[in-house]
This record gives sequence, structure tokens and C-alpha cells, in this order.
Amino acid sequence: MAVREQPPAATDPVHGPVIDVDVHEMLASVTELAPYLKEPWRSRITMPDGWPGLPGFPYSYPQIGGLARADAVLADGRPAGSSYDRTREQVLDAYPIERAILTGLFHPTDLPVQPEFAVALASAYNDWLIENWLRRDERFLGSIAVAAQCPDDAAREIDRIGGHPQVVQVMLPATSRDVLGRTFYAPLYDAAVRNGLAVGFHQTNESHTAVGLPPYYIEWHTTIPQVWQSQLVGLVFNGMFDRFPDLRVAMIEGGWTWLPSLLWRLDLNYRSLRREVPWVKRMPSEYVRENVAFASQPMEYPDDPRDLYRMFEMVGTDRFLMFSTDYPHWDFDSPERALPATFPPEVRRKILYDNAADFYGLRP
Amino acid sequence: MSERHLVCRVGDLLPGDFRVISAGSREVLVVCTGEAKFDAVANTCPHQGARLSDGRVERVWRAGDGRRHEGDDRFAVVCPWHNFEFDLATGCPPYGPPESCRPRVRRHQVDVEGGDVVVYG
Repeated sequence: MAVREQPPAATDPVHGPVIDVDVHEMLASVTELAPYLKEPWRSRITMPDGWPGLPGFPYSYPQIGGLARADAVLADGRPAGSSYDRTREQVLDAYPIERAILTGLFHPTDLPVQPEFAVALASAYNDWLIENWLRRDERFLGSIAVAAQCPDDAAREIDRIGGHPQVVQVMLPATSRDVLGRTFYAPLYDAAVRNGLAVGFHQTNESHTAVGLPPYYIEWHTTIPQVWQSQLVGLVFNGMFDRFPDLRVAMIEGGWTWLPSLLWRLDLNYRSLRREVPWVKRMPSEYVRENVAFASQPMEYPDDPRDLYRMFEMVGTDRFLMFSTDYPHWDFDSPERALPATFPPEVRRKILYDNAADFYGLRP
Repeated sequence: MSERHLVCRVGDLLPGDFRVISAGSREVLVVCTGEAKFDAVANTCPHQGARLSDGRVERVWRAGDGRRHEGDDRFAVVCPWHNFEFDLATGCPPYGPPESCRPRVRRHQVDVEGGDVVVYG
């Protein structure tokens, strides 16, 4: 088979350690959660023809490895990302990864029914995460699953797990079903801040575009940043940063080159429409620059790489971007190649390490 | 040297009321912002040039307990185009620190002299 050569490295080899803020640890099957569930929930997932799992993704994948990077697909049929050994080989040991933040892909918030079951699933997932991933490698840091539809239960779960030394984040879906910045959800943000954790948003099967689910996966994948934009705008204008000034939010896998435009639009509309939301006390862009960080992957690929750096500069801070691979997924970004040479070395260092170290409080 | 322009008698305007006067080629918006208290700003929005007097003078909205809207002590003029707000006491938007004052509407000196409200400009 002919192999097409990759283009030459766009950047110098990685110098110094890397923090990867988006690595997916996957359940081989939801039945893996059974040991961590009590009745009546345990039998709901173990019985034959029982619970089918969280809402599924309707698209068939056109990629050669499905959702996964083709070389991350496991021969035994388990989902990519469900093997610690493979993750260690292809991420942790393949690059100078000092820390990898596990972001899962299991969001009980997406369960539209049986809220008590969703709460139980979140706790079970967190116990599974600690035992099967965090305990196995100190380079891993974890993100807590919660059922945001039950904010008080989510807060209790954050209080239960949040003190674990390897837990750094609460994970929420970049859902299109609700604005998670509503006051209703305040208890879970309060708990995150109380426990010194960030709150991360990542897409799920319930992330739909402005037109719902368009016919093709390529349409969905191109337009999906809309959900992060909507959640970010919701957090700002519902006053979550005013209520919790220490709240840190990570927008993961939603892109970032749309930020200059969104910041301009946020501030313009604030100048005009502030009277509707007087609890928002500062220019919206200030909250975003101070309280929100963005994962780098999927790094866009303009014809002129200088344009990418110009977009970066337009955001108005060099602290907002954190490197991520999105391992094991098909659009994996390499820490050695993703950032073009137009990013100065000191800025690359910030993106590859410093910004995440500061955002997640990982300095020794 | 700035010229003196008579606006009205003090009692002619109640808080929230305003008058527009001509000061040479420019218009000045004079607003009563309290008892015998007045502020004056250029009547042209620094954003895109609309006449501010075609908008609305109102108390600055702030959030009270439980997020109820309540009126502030400050008065603002809201531009008829785009609804930009200008705090009449500062010429700035009524939010954020002074260093983020953008855009700023020009303020004029306004005094009460012998019961007359006068603007210099």
C-alpha cells in the first residue's frame, strides 16, 4: 500500500514537558460500572436486555477507524481508549507528557429520564475512574462525572470526590438541550469552586448544531462549536462568573479561532443590552479572558499559518490556550506538529505546558 | 474661552427631564439628575453619531436581591441607535472600571447661577 509522507514538522521537536488536557478514558462496556453500583441500579445494567446506555450517536462514522485514530483501535473489539496499556504507549510514553487530564466521554447529564439513576451512574463512574485509571498512573488527572439535572446531588458528588489529589475538574456536556449557566445549576459550580476544581465542557452525543442534526457527519463536525459558544455566552450572561468569581471553565474540543469574533460580539451586545442583565458587572470579554481556558485540539489548518497566530493574538491574552491531543480519537493532534512555527517558542511553551499548569493549579 | 448658554430656570426640570440647547454648531443635552442637580453632555453619540436626545434618559438599571431590576442613583442616557448607555455623571458606560470607558461621550460644564441653569461650551 502506498504511504503518503506526512509534511515536514511544522514546529521544533517538543522541548520540555507537555500537559495534555483532553485524553479519553473509555468504558469497555457500561457493565463495568456494575461493581460500583448498589441496587436497585446494579441490576438495571446487568440484566439481559437491560439499560442500553446513554443516548447514542446517530451518525455512522465515515472515518477509517470510526471514532478512533485508526492505530488506536483495539484488536479485541473493545472501544479505543479503554486500554490503559495502549493509552500509555500511544500518549504518555510517546511524548514527554507530564500530566494527562482524563475527560471521559460519559455524561449522565445527557440522560433525559430517571434522574436518580443518572446520579447513581455518575458516582459509579467516578469510583471506576479512580480505581481503574487514576490509581494506575500518577500522570493521569481526572474529571468528575455528574448529573447536572440534579444540581444538589451533583454538588454532593463533587464534595465526595473532589478532594482526591488527582481530581482537577468537573465534566459537563456541551449540550444543546439547556443553558448550563442557568441559576438552577449554581450548586454544582459552587461545589466545584469550593473544591478548587475547574468545570470542563466537552461535546457529547447530545451536542446538536443550530439546525439540530444535519444530514452528514461532516456538517455536524464543522458546525458543532456552536454549542460551546452558546454555553459560554450562557455562563456569562446568566451571571455565573459574577456569582463565583473564582470559577474556572475549560472549553474542550470546541475550537478557539472563533473567540475574537465572539468576544467582540459579546462586548458589543453588552454595551447595548446590559440593561437586561444588570447582574453582569463587567465587560463579558473580561470574564472570558480571566476565567476561561480553551483546549487546542482540533487545531485548524489555514493555508497561511501566520493567520492562525494572528487569530491567537486577537484573543488578547496568551494564557487562554492549552494543548490537547484528544486521544484516542481520529482527529488527534500531535504535540510535536499541531502548532505551526508561526507561534514563537515562548508561546508554544505556554500552550504546551504553562497555561494548563496555571489553569489547573499543577505547579509543584 | 467657552461661551455661556442659558438653558432654563432650575425649577423647570424635574429629575430625569432634559433640554437640548445649541452651543455654537453643537448640541448639548442637559439633564436634571437630582434636586437642583444637572449634567450636560454632547448630544451626539460617540459610537455612530445618533442624537442622544432621541433616546431615553433613565436611572441606571442594577440588580437587586434575587436579581430584581432596580433603579440606581445614577442617570444614564440610552442612545436611540444600538442602545449604548452613558452615565451622565461620567460620560462613560455605567459598568466596568474607568480605564475601560469606551466609548465616552463628551461632558460639558453645567452650573446653577442665580436660579438659572447655564452651560459653558
